[in-house]
Amino acid sequence: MNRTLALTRQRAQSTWRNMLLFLAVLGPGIITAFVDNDAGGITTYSVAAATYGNRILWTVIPMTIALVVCQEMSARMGVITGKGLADLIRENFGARTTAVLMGSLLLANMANTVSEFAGVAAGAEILGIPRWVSVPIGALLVWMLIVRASYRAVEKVFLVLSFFYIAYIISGVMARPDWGVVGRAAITPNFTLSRSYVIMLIGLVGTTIAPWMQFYLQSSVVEKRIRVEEYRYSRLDVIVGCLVTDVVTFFVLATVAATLFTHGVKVETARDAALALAPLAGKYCAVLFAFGLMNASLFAASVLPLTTAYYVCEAVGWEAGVSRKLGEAPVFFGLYTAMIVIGAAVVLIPGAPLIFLMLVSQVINGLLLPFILIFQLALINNRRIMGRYVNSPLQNSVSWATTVIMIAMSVVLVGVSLFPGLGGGG
Amino acid sequence: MPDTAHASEFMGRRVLDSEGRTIGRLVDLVIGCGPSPCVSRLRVRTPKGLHHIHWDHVKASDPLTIDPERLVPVAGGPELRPDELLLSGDILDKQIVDTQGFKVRRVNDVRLEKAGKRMVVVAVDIGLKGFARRVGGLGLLRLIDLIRGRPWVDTEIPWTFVQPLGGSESSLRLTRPWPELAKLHPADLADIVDDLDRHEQMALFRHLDNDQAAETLTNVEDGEVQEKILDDLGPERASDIMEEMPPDDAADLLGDLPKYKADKILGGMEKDEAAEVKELLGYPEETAGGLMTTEYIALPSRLTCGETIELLRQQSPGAELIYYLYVVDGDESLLGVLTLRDLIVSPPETVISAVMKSPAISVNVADHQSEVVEVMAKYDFLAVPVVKDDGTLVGVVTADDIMDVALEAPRPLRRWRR
Repeated sequence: MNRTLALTRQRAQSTWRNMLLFLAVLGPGIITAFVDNDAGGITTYSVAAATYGNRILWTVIPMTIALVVCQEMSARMGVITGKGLADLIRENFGARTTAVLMGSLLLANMANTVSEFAGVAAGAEILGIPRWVSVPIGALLVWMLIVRASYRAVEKVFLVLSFFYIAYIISGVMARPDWGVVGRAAITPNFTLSRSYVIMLIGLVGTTIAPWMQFYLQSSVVEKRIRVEEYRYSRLDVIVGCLVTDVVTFFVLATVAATLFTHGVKVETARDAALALAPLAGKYCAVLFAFGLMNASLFAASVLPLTTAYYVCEAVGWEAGVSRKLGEAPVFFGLYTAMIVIGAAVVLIPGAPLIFLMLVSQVINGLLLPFILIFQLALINNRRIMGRYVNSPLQNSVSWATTVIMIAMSVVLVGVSLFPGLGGGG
Repeated sequence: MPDTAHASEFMGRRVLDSEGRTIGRLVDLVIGCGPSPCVSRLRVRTPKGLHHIHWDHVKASDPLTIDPERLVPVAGGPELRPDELLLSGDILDKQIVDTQGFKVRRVNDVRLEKAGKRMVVVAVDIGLKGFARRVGGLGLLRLIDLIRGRPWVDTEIPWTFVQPLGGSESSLRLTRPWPELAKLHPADLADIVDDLDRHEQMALFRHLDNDQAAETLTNVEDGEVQEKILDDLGPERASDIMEEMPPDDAADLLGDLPKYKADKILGGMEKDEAAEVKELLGYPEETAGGLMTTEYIALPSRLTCGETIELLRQQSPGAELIYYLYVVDGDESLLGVLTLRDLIVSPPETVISAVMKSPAISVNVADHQSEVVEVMAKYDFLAVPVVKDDGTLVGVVTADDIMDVALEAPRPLRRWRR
């Protein structure tokens, strides 16, 4: 009797301890996955669902698997080596490779940051706040967060921001889709052999795994000093992050499919989608959608410059890290500040070619991702670096398959972005 | 060969025989790490695989000409000696410790100089210029020079102040020179610790004795880093290190750990020390009790000055501060305070209760740290005694414990950054 009691208590204690350990390592995976649903992501989802409706829903599950596989590798490398991805690339592939890689990433992320601030402007304008108010305030908030706060504080703010993605789920419920139809569509692969449908698929996958995500996750796992013994919790963090994020993706797709697609409304941007939701699903649904967009954009606008500053500094050998003081890491904070200032300023220029910049960032992202995945696979299978934590044969086959598919898709995506004629009409 | 050269100019160069035929490419330089580290061998990749060739068998360096007969295959032959380094494999693109600037740096290039027949490593380049040289961006840098109107200078660390850390591949071979780092001041070591990765941190702590480890750990600024290091060291080593720490520092560190971990470490410590730390753990962090140390000198009032000096000499107490001596009665109630100065200038036969200042100014264990700062600033104390409500002396807060609080106070935002 007594013994049973003791055992139960022990088990309860260890469950509680596991819970605590999980909460302690929680963060990097969830945050990275959430930033994935940024302005560009929401735009792509809105356009896809408005064009194809529920037919596009089945992509969510394979995308989630691919995302988990790629992110798990980053987290594992961070835990085992204690070094960022840029560090590892520099040490194993030399200065020249690193310089080319960093240069392109800097360029791509600069363009990405611009599109995030464009998202802030769009979301705020739907809520009735003019962009010359929302963008500078947003930029200042984002800047203050990193320069003035510690990693722990930054992470907490990010985790809170993640919570607000629930706006999309609520707006999804408010749009009242037929859940039976939606559920069936989610598990029924649907191929339409039309050129534009294939391109839309590629676009969806392309926004799901971005080069910077691999760097960001690994850096934050390192900064958090997660250890081998805690790794299983960290992996859980990655998986939960990817799952929850794709639940959000799913709801965005379902919302738009149930309303705009059903009524044949075509959209080009996330802003169009939010505005078009109002007469079809109610004003609050549209407001929530816009709020979600602004939240997502602000979130990504702080993470993107942060990750860029991280990996450029890591690679060249400058001090980096949000826990450093300003004077200790001037280039880190300088880069971070410059990206935010430029990103915000470009959006405020009247008639700035925002759609063109989004396109450019997508093209560079697409071009870079294959290289980064190949570098990652080379590093993670190197026993000298990873010891016994190299990929298992199963992990390797899944990740190589993902990489090959991503490469194929990226190549097509880049081709289509450069030569829009390939895509045919709508 | 020019008198000075950079590693970046060598790597990948073609290696020729005396007739000018290409034999292979130079992939690395082997550096003998003697007092003057010089190039001892070249590592050449030929169609038959990796080879070493001794520097003495290099006939000319521009173009790089060797005697192919002297090539020794790397595989099968002796690899590297423990005191040898690979310039590219171990240094270039890797992180090193700058033991003068107490920072971890990434090596962009390495400068070699001709000394007699040999090429000696003189400095590592950590600047943008070195990076530009490596990636072929010197032209761009010159353009920037033109705009700035002055040339970009090399940022170098003399080889004497370089401690290689070694990438994962060479860490075993490179653990040898690490004791060099152990000679640094713990406060400087703490700066370096922050920049090392986890594996390197553990390697460093393995080379520190418990006393050095305790001081270094106390000096590490980031509380989270402290905790993780303590955790990584394992409860046994952690207990040993904790015993070397002043009890208040130990309590600060343990207080941030989850209770079951702290208990494990406390369990491994000697009973007396553990008891002191446990007592301190009972007080809230921001009170006098949370700041104080239990290592102080308390004397019974009937002692004479001469006896007291003799007592101090015999016992050579381990207290942080022996400038203030506290006088207590039988119940450990604080009666007064005596400075070392009072003690020395008084005739040996004087009873200390006659020279002590009484009543002694003290703070209560429950007082907030800001009050402690105020008291110490007002009376210009190096330390202030801490008493319980009934007047029993339980500890002292020393100036170094209060320094961080005092520095932080005017800028509340700093709290975000520890």
